[in-house]
Amino acid sequence: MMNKSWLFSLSRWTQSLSKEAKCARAPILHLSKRSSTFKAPTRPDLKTTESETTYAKGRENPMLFCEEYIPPQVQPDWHRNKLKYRLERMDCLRRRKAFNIPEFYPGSIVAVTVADKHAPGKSIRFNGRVLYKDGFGLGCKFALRNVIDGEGIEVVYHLYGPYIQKMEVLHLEKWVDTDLRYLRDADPSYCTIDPDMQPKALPPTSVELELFRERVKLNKSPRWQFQYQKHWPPPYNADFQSHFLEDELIESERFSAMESWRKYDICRHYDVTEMKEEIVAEMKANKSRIEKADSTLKQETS
Amino acid sequence: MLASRQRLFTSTTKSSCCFCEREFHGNKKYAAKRHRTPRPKNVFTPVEPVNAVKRGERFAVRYTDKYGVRSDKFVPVHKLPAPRWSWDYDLTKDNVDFLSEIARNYSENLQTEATNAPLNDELWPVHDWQKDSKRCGAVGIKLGVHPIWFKDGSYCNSTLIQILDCNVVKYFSKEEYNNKTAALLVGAKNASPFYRNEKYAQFCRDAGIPMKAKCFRFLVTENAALKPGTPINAMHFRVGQYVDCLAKSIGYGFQGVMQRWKMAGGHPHAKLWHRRIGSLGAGGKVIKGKKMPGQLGGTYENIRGLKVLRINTKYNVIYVKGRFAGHINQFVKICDTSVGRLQPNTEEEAKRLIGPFPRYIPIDSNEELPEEIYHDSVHRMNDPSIILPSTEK
Repeated sequence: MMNKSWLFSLSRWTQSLSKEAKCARAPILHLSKRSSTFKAPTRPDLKTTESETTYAKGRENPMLFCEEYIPPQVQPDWHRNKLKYRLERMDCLRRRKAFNIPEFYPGSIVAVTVADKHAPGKSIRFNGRVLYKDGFGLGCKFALRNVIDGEGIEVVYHLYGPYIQKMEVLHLEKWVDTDLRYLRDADPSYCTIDPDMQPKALPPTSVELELFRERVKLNKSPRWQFQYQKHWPPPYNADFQSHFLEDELIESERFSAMESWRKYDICRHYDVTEMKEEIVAEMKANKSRIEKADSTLKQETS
Repeated sequence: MLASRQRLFTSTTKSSCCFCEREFHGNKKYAAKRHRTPRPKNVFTPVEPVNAVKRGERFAVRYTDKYGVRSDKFVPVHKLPAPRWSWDYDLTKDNVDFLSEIARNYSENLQTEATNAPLNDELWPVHDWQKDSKRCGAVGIKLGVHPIWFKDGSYCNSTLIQILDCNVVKYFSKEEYNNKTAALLVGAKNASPFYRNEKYAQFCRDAGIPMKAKCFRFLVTENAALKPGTPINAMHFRVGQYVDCLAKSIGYGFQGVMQRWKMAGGHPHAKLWHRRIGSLGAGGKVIKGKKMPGQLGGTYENIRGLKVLRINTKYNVIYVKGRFAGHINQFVKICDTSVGRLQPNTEEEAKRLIGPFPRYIPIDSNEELPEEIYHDSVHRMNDPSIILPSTEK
């Protein structure tokens, strides 16, 4: 009882004091039992941080996310099976662990050594410019184009095919377009690549790649593979309008305008942001799943 | 009978039916054929008017109750006795909610009951393989297609099939079924207990398994009898064996002759002839089997002699070389081949071409299966790249 009344009067007195007075002359009241001068030691980092490479905006860690991990747009919903996508992505990760598939985009120059039973030495080396990279999962294919002795040659390879023994990126370039098949109708100098070309220095992954924004002039002859002027969207890196007269341009604009509504078509928009997070989380878990699954295999073979 | 017929042929003034006294125009020569027997072919028992009340009718006078003599080939669909179009068509809302709640936890409850059962019934005896004995297969779901590479550098497209909740539903012995072969019903993919009719629901109840969404029949020899309720998983098949896949193809509906039979049709500048059949044949009649428009797809197609390349025991997935009919998530009937040159004649061949007979029984129950089983010729994705051996001397 005595203590309580003393405390009450004391608190009243401290409240009446001014702020400065409180700081200067306020008595030290050890009211809380928990305050002490003990300082907790710093927590040791038990996780060994590997050399984490930072990836810039347009480039991703291929072990976690790649364009070919995104499943194709399929309607209706019951025509897709998510288990199949998961199994296929696990196989992709297995291949990436066993073989280093370098990063490249349509427009870059790549050299590929491939196992071929009909070739002398049982392997062939071919280099060329990448025209497109298309497909989902293990079925992802890319095409290389090279002009040798005036003859244009295109070869299509599977990105995850185990017959690829070696893959080098000679010159890393990223064009705005993802489909460069119009280079067949353009100046052949873009696709003539020296078979003995030496690789150029690759920029590190923390640097953002600048897009290649030059415009390739297509040949004047009207025998194109595809009527580029009549279709929407027009390719960014191709310049074909200089060949046409004004009337023809107006007519071609009419054709392409008929299809330009597609950019407003919501149903065709494929929103990938949610899927990307799911895929990245899944691929992180796949690492341990693969180790678990393949450990039983090794026991069998050994 | 004779007397009546004589009467028909002798009368010349009136042509009328002797049975129903109807007058008809036409040659009385045909009268006997037309009204030979008054026995009505289709006599339906009157249907209880339960459904009729819901539809707003008060008295059910069905088209099928009248006209006992009309041809039974054509009865319009809206006049047939109403089918049971949903399991809750005659229940009150409270009962429907109550039963749906049960259905939601139905399959899980059954499975937990089965595992906690104190008494396990005796398993049926297991017989050895003999020549010309057939075992049952499995029912699965088509997951999709992706490439598989071989060790010599070649490549093929393989379909993935998942064997999802596959159980034996019912066994019919030779005498019960037809006196030639025994039969096994195998079902896959759990569904609500009100999915199908009462007869099928009773089979599932006797076997102690949840109702299955799809059920296929396998003709089987008696030494391969399986007890209803036995689970079937991916180990029922062996890597390297050959397999038949039966599935319903994608349905395109009623299609014309260009889609269905790949006929050429008219040239682009034709004015009056575009997608037509063309000639119907010669000889004053249409040839039997003439290709004409009709139903395309939606039929069961059987592809034989597909090789099993890889098995995933964790998800019960089989990788099969080649492709077969059907869309993704379609039910597939998988069984051992019927191809003549791949039939086993000896026990050694049976171990290579056919899976374990009559089903997979693990030697040790605690043995952990490897998650992935590959065929010897298949290249595994975690191995290094293929390097072909040089043949230079």
